[in-house]
Amino acid sequence: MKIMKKQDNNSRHILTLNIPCSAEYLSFIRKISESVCSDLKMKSRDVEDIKVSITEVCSNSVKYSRGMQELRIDFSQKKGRLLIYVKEQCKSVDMPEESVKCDSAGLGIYIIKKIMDDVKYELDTDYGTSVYMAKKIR
Amino acid sequence: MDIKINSKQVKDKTHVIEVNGEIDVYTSPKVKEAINALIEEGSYFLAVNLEGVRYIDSTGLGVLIGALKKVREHDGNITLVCTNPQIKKIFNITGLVKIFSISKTEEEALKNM
Repeated sequence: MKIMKKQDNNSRHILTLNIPCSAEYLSFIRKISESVCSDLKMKSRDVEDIKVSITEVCSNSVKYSRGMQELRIDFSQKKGRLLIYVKEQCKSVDMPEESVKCDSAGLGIYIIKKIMDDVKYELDTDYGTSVYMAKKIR
Repeated sequence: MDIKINSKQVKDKTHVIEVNGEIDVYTSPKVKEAINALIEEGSYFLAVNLEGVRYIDSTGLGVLIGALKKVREHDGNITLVCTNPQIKKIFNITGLVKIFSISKTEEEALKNM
């Protein structure tokens, strides 16, 4: 597990987290997310929304991708918005349609779309899924 | 991260399940196991107290939906106790407030069974 904190001139990049793709790290990911949001003085309800969204994205990776070593989570700030980029670090084996077997199928993505200001998925069967999310800092 | 689950029988076929902690992919199997064990024992009326739950994700919601399907096969029901606005928000935006009765107290949850 690696945490990199960069200070660039535009203060856009906040933090990069490389973490094992495993359910036991979800709580830690939430703690880091909370810390990033607190530094940006975000409202507590927005902090909770971000914790939920990041957990949902990472949970999907944990549930539906086998053989994945790591998740890379980038936090950055641009034009008054917190940008979060979650990237699976290897080949995604199962496709999302398999999720219909689960009672929570589709709920996670639905929740993220409802509580974040912007969400974009990039599905790539060779290099894993990437998710971009944004939330206005207010 | 840990999760604590306690249950108590309040009357025939009726239990109150108290959950404390965070419910996500890591912990939800324990919640599922505890609820399913009660259903298998014939307890088809369950009040799940989420007052000690700080966080729930879609996997946790899936566990509750799955359990509700099971008890309804036996004409049972599951009601919830929850006052945490963040948790209630998740039930609201997913529309699950229309499926689960959410109460402020265990007594109310048992009454709404």
